[in-house]
Amino acid sequence: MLAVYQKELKSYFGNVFGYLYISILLLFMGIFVTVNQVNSLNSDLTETFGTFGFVLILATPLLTMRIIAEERQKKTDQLLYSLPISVSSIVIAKYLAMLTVFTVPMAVISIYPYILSHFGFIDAPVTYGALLALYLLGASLLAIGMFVSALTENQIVSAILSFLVMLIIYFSDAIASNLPTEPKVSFIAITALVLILGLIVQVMVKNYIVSLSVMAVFEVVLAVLFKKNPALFEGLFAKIVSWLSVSSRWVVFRYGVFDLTSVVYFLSVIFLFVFLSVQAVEKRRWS
Amino acid sequence: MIEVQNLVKKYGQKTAVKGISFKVDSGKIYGFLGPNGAGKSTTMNIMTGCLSSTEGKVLINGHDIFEEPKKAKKCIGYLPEIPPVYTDMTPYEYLSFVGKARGVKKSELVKQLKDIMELTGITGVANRLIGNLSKGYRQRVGIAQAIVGYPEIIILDEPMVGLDPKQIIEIRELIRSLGENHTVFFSSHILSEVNAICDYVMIIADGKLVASDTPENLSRRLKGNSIELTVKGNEKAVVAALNKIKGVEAIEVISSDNGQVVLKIHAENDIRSEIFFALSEIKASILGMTASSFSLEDIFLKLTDKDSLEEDDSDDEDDADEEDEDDDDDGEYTPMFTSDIEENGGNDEEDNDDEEDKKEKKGDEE
Repeated sequence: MLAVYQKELKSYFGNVFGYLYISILLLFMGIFVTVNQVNSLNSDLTETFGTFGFVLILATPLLTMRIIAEERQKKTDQLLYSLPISVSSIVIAKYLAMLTVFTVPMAVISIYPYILSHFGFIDAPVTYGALLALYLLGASLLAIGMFVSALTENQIVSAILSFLVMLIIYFSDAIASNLPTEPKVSFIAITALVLILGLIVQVMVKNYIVSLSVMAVFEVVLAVLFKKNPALFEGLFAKIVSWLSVSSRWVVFRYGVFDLTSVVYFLSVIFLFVFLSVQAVEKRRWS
Repeated sequence: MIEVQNLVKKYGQKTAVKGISFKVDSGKIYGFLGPNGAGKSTTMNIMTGCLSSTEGKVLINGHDIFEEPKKAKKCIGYLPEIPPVYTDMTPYEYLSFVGKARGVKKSELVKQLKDIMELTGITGVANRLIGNLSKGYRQRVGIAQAIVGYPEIIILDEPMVGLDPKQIIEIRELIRSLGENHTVFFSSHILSEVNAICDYVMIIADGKLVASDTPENLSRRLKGNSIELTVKGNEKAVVAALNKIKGVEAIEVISSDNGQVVLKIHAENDIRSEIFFALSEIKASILGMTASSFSLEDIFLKLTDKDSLEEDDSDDEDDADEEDEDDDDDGEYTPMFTSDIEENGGNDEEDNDDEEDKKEKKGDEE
């Protein structure tokens, strides 16, 4: 596991991606701090962290696009499979390597509040709480990006896909607040979601019976619920969409709330997507 | 020791491997032969845990590759069809990564890598990026990777592909020297390679194991079964005399003019001396007599020929299985064909020529 971790770290710093990622994050953070803090004489960094979250979303595919897709593209995954290391430790090692690269700019950024505190008032607990939330957000995005990378063997496809996913996650709050809340609309939208779920199952197991029965079960449950209690569907779809939103979870930290459920939420997202990545890599052996 | 039990692999509707069983004993070099798409790579991928099997088991030194992958994989070094090299690393970095991943101790690693790079001839390029190396060197790095940690069993999928004749000879020597301390299992479709270095040959065609024996046994079993004869004398008298010999199965007159008859005789056993005496009785002088010997190429072509496979398919499936088991038990080769080897030679001659050309080229290089 350590060997894979070292190898991944080396490869990030052996080519341009690691440096590019770090310098993009630091460059934008620098610009934001210059504009928001230095030029406008404002010591509240939490606002800046908020803007920075968007840069994080744009930059994450730089790290994640190659992490598993490249192994497949170059057929080096066969080496990893034949080594006496389990798939889960390979994936975890890869994740930790990405996390380490991500930690570098975050460590630099963590000095900012200290520097700024010499020139104005910094609410340290709030600022560092927001920074921690930012770190958790970035870590979750890395896990999601890694999962997308595990789904394809083309780095470009992987980059575009994870970029799309990141954007949806970022804007899911805005989308959710504009969705109609009538039960019927919710029902139709959830039906569409079930269809998509069925398609994903079909792609993963390549078995019509399984995917169709999964779809049928969900549809029947939905239909029964809808018949019995339409009120249940009032705004349900919007709720689902906003629940998916990773970004809304960390907004509260900026207001000085240390929200434990959000921390648990981020950790669950990380765990879930690392787990899914392991499954996606394992699955390839069973195709 | 590798034990493969009734391996089946299905890709959707297509069955790539149809129930292969064999045993690989320690300390020998095994050649795994078969035409393209016969299921060689699939079988090797399953043996090394890169792919799951639909049915069947693979035991490496008694450890199931899927149930105890760590223990099983500790004993294996594998070179897949495409060398799994990281192009942004140097061979030294790459090999030390593999060494660490296989759990080689740091103190041993440096010396081991030095030896292995010496052995595979990549010391000179140790600090260049693999991405800048030629195909031949990448292949060597791939082979070096399979040796790192000195696993007991080294599995190589087409190690000679993409190499020039000189490199092929070097790799051949390398495999031979590896065979002294390791079990080597390698696939190839270059028959002369297999013939030259293997202790044991397995031929696979259309997802089934069709033969497994030593290369000598494979060809000896067939030698003398067919005799080409040039006789001076009357055609009818010669044929009549030959027919009297015990063990003659078929006589084929190839040409007959100016009192010279060219024949081909198929027999159960070596009947060359009987032919001599039979013909001397009728005073027909023998101008030439050759027992057709079968090279691995003939056997390969015969065994992997589509038509003969279909014939086998029409037979009882169980028969084929039993034969495979026989092979395992006593190492005796039960030919799935006995006569008319030469009959479909027409189509295959081109392939033979190609092979011979290759051999000649190699000879030149040497």
